[in-house]
Parts: sequence; structure tokens; C-alpha cells
Amino acid sequence: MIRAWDRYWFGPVNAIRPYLAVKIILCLLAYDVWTLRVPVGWRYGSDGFNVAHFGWLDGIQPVPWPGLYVGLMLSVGLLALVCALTDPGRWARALLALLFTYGWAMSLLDVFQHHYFLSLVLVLFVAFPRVAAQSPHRTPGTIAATTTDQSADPAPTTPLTVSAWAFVLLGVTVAIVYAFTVVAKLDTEWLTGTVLQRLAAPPLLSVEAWAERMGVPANAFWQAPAVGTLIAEALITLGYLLAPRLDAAGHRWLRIISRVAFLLAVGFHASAEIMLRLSIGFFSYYMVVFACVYFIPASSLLAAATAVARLATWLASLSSTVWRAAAATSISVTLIEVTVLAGIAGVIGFSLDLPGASTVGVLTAAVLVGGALAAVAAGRLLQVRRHLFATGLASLVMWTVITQTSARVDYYTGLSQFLQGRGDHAAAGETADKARRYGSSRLL
Amino acid sequence: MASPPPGRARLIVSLVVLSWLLWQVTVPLAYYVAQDVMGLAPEEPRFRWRMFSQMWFSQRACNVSAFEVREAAAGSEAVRPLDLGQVLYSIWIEQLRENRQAVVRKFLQSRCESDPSVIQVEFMRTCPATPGFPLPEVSLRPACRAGRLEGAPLTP
Repeated sequence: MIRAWDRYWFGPVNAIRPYLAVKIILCLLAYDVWTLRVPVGWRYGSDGFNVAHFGWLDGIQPVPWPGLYVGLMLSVGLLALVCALTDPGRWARALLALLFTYGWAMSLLDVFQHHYFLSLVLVLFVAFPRVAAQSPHRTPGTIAATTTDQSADPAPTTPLTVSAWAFVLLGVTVAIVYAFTVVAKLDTEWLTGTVLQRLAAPPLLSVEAWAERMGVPANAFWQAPAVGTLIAEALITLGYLLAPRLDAAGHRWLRIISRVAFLLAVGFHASAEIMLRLSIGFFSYYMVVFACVYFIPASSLLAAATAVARLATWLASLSSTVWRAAAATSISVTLIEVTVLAGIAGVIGFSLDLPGASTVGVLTAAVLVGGALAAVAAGRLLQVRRHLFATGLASLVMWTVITQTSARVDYYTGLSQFLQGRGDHAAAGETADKARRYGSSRLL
Repeated sequence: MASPPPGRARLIVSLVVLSWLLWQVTVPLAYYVAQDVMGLAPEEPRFRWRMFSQMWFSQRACNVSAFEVREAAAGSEAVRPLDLGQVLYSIWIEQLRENRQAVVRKFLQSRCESDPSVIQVEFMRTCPATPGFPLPEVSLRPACRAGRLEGAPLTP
């Protein structure tokens, strides 16, 4: 019994799985918060009204305001991207989990269940093995993953497996989510297809009309996918429960179940988006990423990641050439470079023209300069520099995403409509002007 | 390979795993077996993985309204209907429709605090009859005293 427990939770998992899970989910998270959460930041504190998710939080926090929420979401995106790029440490992942969780917990304005789910994911990420892409000269042409854990074997020929109980636990957590979505559907309304019929988008209704002409009764048309969804979700649950054993056991039946679960998971989320047009958006994307990292054979994941890694390696070699040239000159030159990056981060904060953004810019600049000085004092500039550069790069990516998507337009459009509804026509006009201005300046 | 944690650490990790699983299973399960535990109201779907449920659909059709009773001249009272759309952002109104207890309580509190002349607030929710899935009507009339909400816990 104990051996089976140990085998399940502490058995070997191909390192590419937790590696890709962290990288892709954190990149998605950054884009998610910048494009979907920042634009609704104006709602916070509107009419001076707020209710937090937990009563005790209401007791200790002030009524949130747009600057707090937008600043928090910008910071969450920045930190997520830095963690994805260079993984400064478990403390950074823990801070990310804390900030993100406070982001939704501060107000019932955000009741998306997938934000709670993401908090669970981020908490488990803290305990994920710290896996880094191996340097290209060791394993040319691959993204062979190696763990940076102290407990890991530091030999150059590091095998590609890790013991990753948090990765296994995340898979089981996802299985629990799917299992309860099955339980929630065990009622007459769902089983008879009534709920599905209500959710159906126009394309599906026209398919229903076509099916009826072909002799398929309407109730059967809706009942079949409703029951099919239940079965699919149950099989996906089973897939996630078995997936942690995929790399270690390698049974053929296990591989078959994983592939079926992968197809069902992707099909389920794609149909919710395309057939039902539920616009669930990022939740579907996150779940598809999980389906990929848990169910796809590790060899295929490695092959796909290698292509991306080649590009990243080439970019890294460019920056390291520049860095080496600078580092060879003197520490003061390095500090000047970090100061320039800090200046850019600060300017970005002020140029975004969103509440809280300037504070984030100043804080990022302070982190860069403070981090560099502290690293020099500790004689660790060499180890810390990539995190500093990642922070600067994340600021630039944030600026690009915020200015080139509809984030600012949506922010000011929403605010303008709200002010219009409250009869503040002058302020509504001003914010509408901003929305128009930013709408015309973006490319995406 | 990163080794599994050694003896004592493995025990601690195992306890963490067990606690996590217990938490993940009991919170959604409580919805079905003990709805009023952990302070979560029966109609509260948070943390329970109930997406697009029948209740969610039905609640969207509910109507909510609110009234304020104010002290008028010579000890008389004046009843004023509230335009909810003018005092609350639409997401909060949706949550009143869902009878989310914390929001209802805070809303009533905020009306008491808005003006010392408010002596009572009334909140009502009515929902169309749904076969096999009746949603309770809500009618609350707490009194206000010196800008504070008075009375027993707010239950319909």
C-alpha cells in the first residue's frame, strides 16, 4: 500500500512536463491578466461599494480602487512572465500565487471559478521541481530539461525524469474539477438536454433543424451530446488520475487512455468555444495546455519544445554576447545598463496611462536598481543578471501587449459608459476621447 | 533524476497531499451533502465547480427591487423606491439576483449608512416559477438605527 502510494506521488515524471506546464501557463497568465483583467479595473470601488470573497478580508482591506487593481494585475503579469523566463526562485512563485489570489479575493466583482482554480495551480507551482532548459552545448538541438533542485543529481548526464509530487497533485486536482463538473450535471435538466439547448449558439440550432429534417427527434439531438459530455468528462477525469504513471509504467493501455483523454479534453473545450460559443476563453486555453502536458507522449513534447528552444537559444546567445562584452568592461558599465533598463521600465509605467501603472513602473525600476546593487554587494551579479534582464524584457512585453491590444480601449470605453450611466457626461466624454485615441493607435 | 524526498520529508509531503485532497473534495462535496457548512450559502456556487447549472439559469430571470423608508416631517414616514441601476454597478445587481448573502447584507448596510434619515430598508427578490426547481422568494426589511443596520441575521 505504502509502496503504491510512493510510486504514484513520488514516481518519475518526464521533466519536460512540469517544465512546459510552468512556462506556458505563466505566459498565458500574463497575457490573460493584461488583456482581460486590466480592462475591467475601473469597476473596482465604483459607487464606493465592495464585498470581498471572505468576510475577514473585508474587515482588513479598504474599498479597492482602480489604481490598486490595475497595478496589481500589471504586477501579476510582470512577475508571471519573469518566472516563466528565468524562474528567480520559489519565493517569486509564492509571491505570484499570493498577488494573483488577492487579485480575485479582494472583490466579488470577480467570481470566475477559473481564477480560484488558477490560484490552486499557482500554489502547486511553488512546489514544482525547478526545471531549467539545459545549456545547448550539453545537448545540442534539444531542450533537455534539468532540475535545479539541490537534491537533484548535478551530473551533466542528468536523466530527463524528476520526482514531482506537486505535478502529480495538480493532475489529481484537475481530475477533481472534472469529476465535480460531472456530478453537477447529474440532474434531469442536463440529462434531458434542456440546459444544452438553452446554451446553444445559432450554428448548433441550424444543425438541429437539419438533423430534424433527417429524421432525428429534437429531444434525442440534445440528449445525445448532453450524455456524451458526461461520459467525456468522466473519461478525462480518469485520464488525469492515471497520467502521472504514464512515463514510469509505460503500459500500452495507459498510453491509449491518455490519448483518448487528450482528444476528449481538447474536443470538449473546443466545442464549448466553437459550437456553444460560450466565450469561456482563457479557461479553455489553460485546460488545453494541461491536456497537452499531461497526456501527450513526452517524446512529442520534447520535439515540439526543441523547436521553440532553438529560437530561444539563438536569442539568448545574442544577448549573452552583448552581455559578455559589457561584463568584460566593468561592473559599473553593467550597472549603467541596468539603470537604463530601470529607466525604460519607469517610462513604460508612466506612458501606459492607466491608474496604478506609474506605481508599477517606479517599483519595477526600484527592483531593477536595488536588485543589481544588492547583487553587486553580495558578489552575485553574474547569477542575478538574467533575472534583471528578464524583468526589463517583461516590462517591454507588457507595454507591447497593453498598447497593441484593446486593453486600454476597453478600459476607457467601459469607464466612459459607466460615467455616462451615472450622468457624469463631461468625464464620460473625456474617457471616451481616450478610448478613441488609443483605439486608433493600436495595431492589433 | 531529482530524488523523491527522503523519509521524514516524504511523510510531511504525504500529509500535505492528503490535506490538499481533503480540502479539494470536501468543499465542493459540501454543496450536495451539507450546504450550510463553511459559511457558504445553499445557493452559493463558488469553489464548487458548478458551471452553467440550472440554478444559474433560473436566477438570471429573477427580479430584485429595493425601497428605503425615511423619516419625514412630523414623525411621518416616506417610502422611496431605489433605482438599483443608479446606486450599484450591474455585477452587484446580478449578485443580488443570486441572493448572495454577503452582497445583500453589505448593500442593506450601505443604504443605512447613506443617510441618517433612512430608518428601514427593504429588499425583495421574486423569481418566475421553474418546474422542479423553485427558487425561494426573498423579502428582507431590516431597520436602520443611526446609520447602522439592525436586527437578526438576514435570512429570507
